Amino acid sequence: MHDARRGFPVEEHMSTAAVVEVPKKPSSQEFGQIFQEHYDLIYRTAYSITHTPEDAEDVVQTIFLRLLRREFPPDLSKNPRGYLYRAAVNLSLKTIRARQRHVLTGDEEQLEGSTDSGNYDRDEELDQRLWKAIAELNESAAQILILRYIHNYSLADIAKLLGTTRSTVAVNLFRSRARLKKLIHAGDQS
Amino acid sequence: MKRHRRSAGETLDQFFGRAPKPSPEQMDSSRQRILQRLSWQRIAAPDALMSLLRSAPDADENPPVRKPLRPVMIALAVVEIVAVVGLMALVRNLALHVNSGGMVQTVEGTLYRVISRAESRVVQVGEKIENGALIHSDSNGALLVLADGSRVEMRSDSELSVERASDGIRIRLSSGSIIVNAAKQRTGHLYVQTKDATVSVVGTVFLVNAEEAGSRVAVIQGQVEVQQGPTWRKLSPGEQVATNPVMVSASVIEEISWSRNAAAHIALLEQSRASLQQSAITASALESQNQPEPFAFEMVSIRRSNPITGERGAAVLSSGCTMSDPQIDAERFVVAGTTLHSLVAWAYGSGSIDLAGCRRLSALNLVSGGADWVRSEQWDIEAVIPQGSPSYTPEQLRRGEVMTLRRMLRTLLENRFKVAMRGEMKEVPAYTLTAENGAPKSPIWAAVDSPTSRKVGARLRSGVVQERGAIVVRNAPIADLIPLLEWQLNRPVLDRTALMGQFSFVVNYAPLDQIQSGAFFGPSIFAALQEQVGLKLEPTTTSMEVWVVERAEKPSEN
Repeated sequence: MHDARRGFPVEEHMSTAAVVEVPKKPSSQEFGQIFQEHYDLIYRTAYSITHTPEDAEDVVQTIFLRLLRREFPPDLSKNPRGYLYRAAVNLSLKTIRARQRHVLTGDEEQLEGSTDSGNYDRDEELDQRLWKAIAELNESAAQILILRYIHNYSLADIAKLLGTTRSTVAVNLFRSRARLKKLIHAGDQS
Repeated sequence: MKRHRRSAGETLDQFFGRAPKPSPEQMDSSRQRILQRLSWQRIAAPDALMSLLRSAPDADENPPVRKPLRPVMIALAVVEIVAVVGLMALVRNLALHVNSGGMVQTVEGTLYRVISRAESRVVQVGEKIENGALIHSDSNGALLVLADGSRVEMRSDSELSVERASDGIRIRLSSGSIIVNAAKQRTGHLYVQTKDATVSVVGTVFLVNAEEAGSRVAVIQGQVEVQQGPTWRKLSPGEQVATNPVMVSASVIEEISWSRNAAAHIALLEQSRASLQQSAITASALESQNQPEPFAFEMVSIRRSNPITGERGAAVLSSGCTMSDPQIDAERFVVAGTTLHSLVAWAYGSGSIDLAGCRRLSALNLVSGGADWVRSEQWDIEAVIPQGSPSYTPEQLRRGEVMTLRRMLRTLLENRFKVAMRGEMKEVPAYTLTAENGAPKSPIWAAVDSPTSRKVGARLRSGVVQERGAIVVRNAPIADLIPLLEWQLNRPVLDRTALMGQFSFVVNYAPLDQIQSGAFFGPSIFAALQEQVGLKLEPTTTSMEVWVVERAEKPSEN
């Protein structure tokens, strides 16, 4: 059983109007149940975006640590899967944004030039550009894209998971695809 | 013949189809590691975690610790360096261009450009020497003049390379001794880097002497900052410091006696000492070298950040580091959503002032301690840098060449977080990296058996990149490879290759945890380095400074 009265942790600078409930730690049973039910989706999501088990583990661990530390929204119990999934996408995208700054110790702009040494190379280069573009999409657009094309969710399932409407999902997908296609066209022309 | 062209839609679908999917075994092993690490957090629901762990097979048999391979012990080789900066080393002789705008002068003897272990050639007068090229002096020594006018007197049989730093010039001294007469640096620095110390200069005269056990730095005129691992010291004329306490002490005069300009150096040293005595600085200089410097930010604003609703909320990793890098310009130091753990790592550790630097120190257990909030509660900090302080660049933050900033951060932590730290030297497990004869043996164009390494290697002009089971090194010193290896191995890696200059090679390997989980097949990083490049990793222990947070308080916000 989840407690619907959970809320944000009280922050000193938040108004009392915004914070009316004291969060409650998940019980052992609740935590175990949430972990078992949602680990697969969270890990697969994080791994598909970050491409490494180390980063995926960091993402999953951070999310469940937040849960243990009561850093979750008041409506978590209404849709824990949606909340955890959104957190996984957002954290994973932050990870790959940070990686672009950290892993490369050489001159970053020197990777901008392209080489034409085979289709595989072009695919990898394209992958990098597209993941970078996805990381720059707004969070909900990225969440929808990944649910649709990585996890093969239907529009209806996406809408249900993210708590929105099917038409919103469809429009969002269309715009995101258009943006990525434009990037592909630009790459082809260059 | 008409070639089929993929539509953008097809391309996009194929892109999503290439997204990696974890194997069931990998998911299970990751699940065990995550649960194990969560159980260490001691926050909540321990019984639930224990229950989950018990349900996971072989949880105890697979702790999240990378297993060392062959327990082979090797002897440590310590590089010694002597660097002396001599203001009076004014020798006018033949001039050679070193790099664009740079000059090198030879006084006597001959300079060699080292091409490989077996091949070198004489550097001709007026010849340009490229950035990072390895230069060796013969038995008579030589004198170089760098692009900024700094003069470097090389002792006999000394070896160095000179390269651009983000804010000046860096001399990498691999062996022997040098005396450097640093030109006045307008905005940047001159660095002398050895294996165990970095000397930072802004127009001064100093001596660094290295022996078997380590390096020694002494000052003739002006002041220098010496960084050894996580610590730094400022030295004034007549003062010296050794990187190893067992080193036999020798006077500064003795150390510089080999120089052909020794008399001039000694005269300058005496003059500097007299000047210091007159201004009553000398009396406390030796004592003050171990005292914290009174460096501090002018104003500091600290606010608790809201990790849930705030836009600036940065994710906190399991290490306690936050995915939030500081921003710096000439006037401000700003970081949003940082933990105290990150701040401590940046202030007391060595290495980069960013997420990578914090994660490295945490992974190596070089910074630890403090209550849970130290690694979980997040703070937004804005600090005003006082005028006259060094103006650091993001590149310097990445390289960790920010001694003054570290001191300011320490002052901030002591004043606002009431941080009390305990630093101690500890023996920790490590690896040594040694080079077999002829290493590194694979040029970038020869060891490319993966599309990733071929692609990255072909486009990277300089630097080190790790990507999907490949490490690509191109026109980079071995020192730049070390952080990546430490990241892979979770242990300090001691560079004992004695390889100076810049190299290009590729290492294709399978990450250890992926080998263990059966998700990836291929050579380990140990085997790959040895077989593909001729570099050997062997387990050892080393003494490192470990910092522990003994006390800390949550700051009052302002």
